[in-house]
Amino acid sequence: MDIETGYKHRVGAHCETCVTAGLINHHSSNGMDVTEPLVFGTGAGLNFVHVPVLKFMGLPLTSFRSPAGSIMKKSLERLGVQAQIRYFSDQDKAMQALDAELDKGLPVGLQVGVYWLPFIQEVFRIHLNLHNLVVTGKKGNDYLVSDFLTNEIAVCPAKDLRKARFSKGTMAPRGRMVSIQKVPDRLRLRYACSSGIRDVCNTMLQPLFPFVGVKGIRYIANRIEKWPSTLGERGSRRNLGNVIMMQEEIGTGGAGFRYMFAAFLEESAGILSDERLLRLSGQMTATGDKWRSFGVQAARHCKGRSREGEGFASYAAVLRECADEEESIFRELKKIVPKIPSAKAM
Amino acid sequence: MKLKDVEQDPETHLPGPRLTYAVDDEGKYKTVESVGNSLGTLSVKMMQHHINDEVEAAAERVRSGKESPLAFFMALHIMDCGLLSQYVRIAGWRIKRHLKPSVFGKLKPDVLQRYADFFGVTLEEFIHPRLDRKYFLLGKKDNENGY
Repeated sequence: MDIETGYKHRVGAHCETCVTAGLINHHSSNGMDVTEPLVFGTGAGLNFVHVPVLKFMGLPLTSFRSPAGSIMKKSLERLGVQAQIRYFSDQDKAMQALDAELDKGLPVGLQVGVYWLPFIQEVFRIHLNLHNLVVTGKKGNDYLVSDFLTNEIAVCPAKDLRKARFSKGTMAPRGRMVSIQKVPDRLRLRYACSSGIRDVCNTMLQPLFPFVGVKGIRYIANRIEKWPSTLGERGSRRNLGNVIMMQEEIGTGGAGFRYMFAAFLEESAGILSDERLLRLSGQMTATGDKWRSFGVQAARHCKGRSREGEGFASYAAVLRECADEEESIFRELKKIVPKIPSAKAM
Repeated sequence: MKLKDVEQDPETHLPGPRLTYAVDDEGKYKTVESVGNSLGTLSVKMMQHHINDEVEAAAERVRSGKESPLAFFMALHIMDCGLLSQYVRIAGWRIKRHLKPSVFGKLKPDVLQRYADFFGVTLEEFIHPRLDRKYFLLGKKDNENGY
């Protein structure tokens, strides 16, 4: 059985936004070009979370984005795209449902665990369940998948894809499958942008937990200062390495999504026709640069090449500056972005 | 970040280019493909070093008879008792017990088979493994850099 849906492989910065933007563009009838930052911003992707209790491979969870799946779900909803998101408890049914969608000629977005994907380089195969890819077709018993980590459309045997869809551990994907049914001719861009920005402001400024948002950045700053005494030299180095990895390598578009969000602010300045957003976009870029300087300092520490006056106290100081800057940005954003009560009022 | 500051790290582990967002001279955002950045490469290297160290340490403990071969396979697959228990449907505290060589020696064949099936090796290979990381990178692509 050979099926080919004609999904175009695309280069991206982040798996979930890349998949969502790719799927929307594939289904749109008039050749829309939805960008990754737009999906990221309308899905309220920007966040900061540091939860020492939740572990990924023995290291505390540090994340620069909202929980897996929520970016896709929120942005599809806000843009007015009709989509079906399904979870499965039965593995056979999950694979049958995937085949049924492919039979209809629709590419399908899946959430998978990276560890079980054979086409990904060995160094990246860690137990991380937050990865997304698009199944574009089927060839015999193998699936054709478009993954932003690879250069082109890759081949994945059915048994590996099944394992990946039902990988276990923190935030297991449970066979999550997204198929888009209808993309409207005009997306609700104004509504989506304003509610996305307001959503980000709320989670950053008024989080439900003290380890989320701006408070979360201050929380990790306080924790980082204590790392040398609680974890020792080796442990604190490893933890720092993990933060750098989450910030720069796990598909963030650089500086823990800050650049991508700034790009979104720039785009939404045009959509909401508000010049002030451009200035805030510039400020966000500056904050991203600060995050990156933290990454550079931390990397020097990991290599054992710390400069004079650098230490865990100075890393914490940089993080606190980031927190202060972000707080002022989001306070201002919340003031200037209008509340659009319902999608109809767009 | 400025467009000209976007890093193109030649030592990267990334298999393909990634989009990076950076501003041009007028402050407008542009996308540029980057093959990798040095911070990311460093962090991946560190993680890989750590995994290798863990595997070596586990192999040493198995060789000296302090722990059962299960410990080696768990280190090889970067798993702890909690994660493994979700996959093989054996309680975490039992898996922790199975790490003791004395308990491991008395395990019934069907329990051993369950572990062996999950790790994708034969029963014989599971009980008397070759304690060499390279040998077990069966389906995995080996990296030339030695990581």
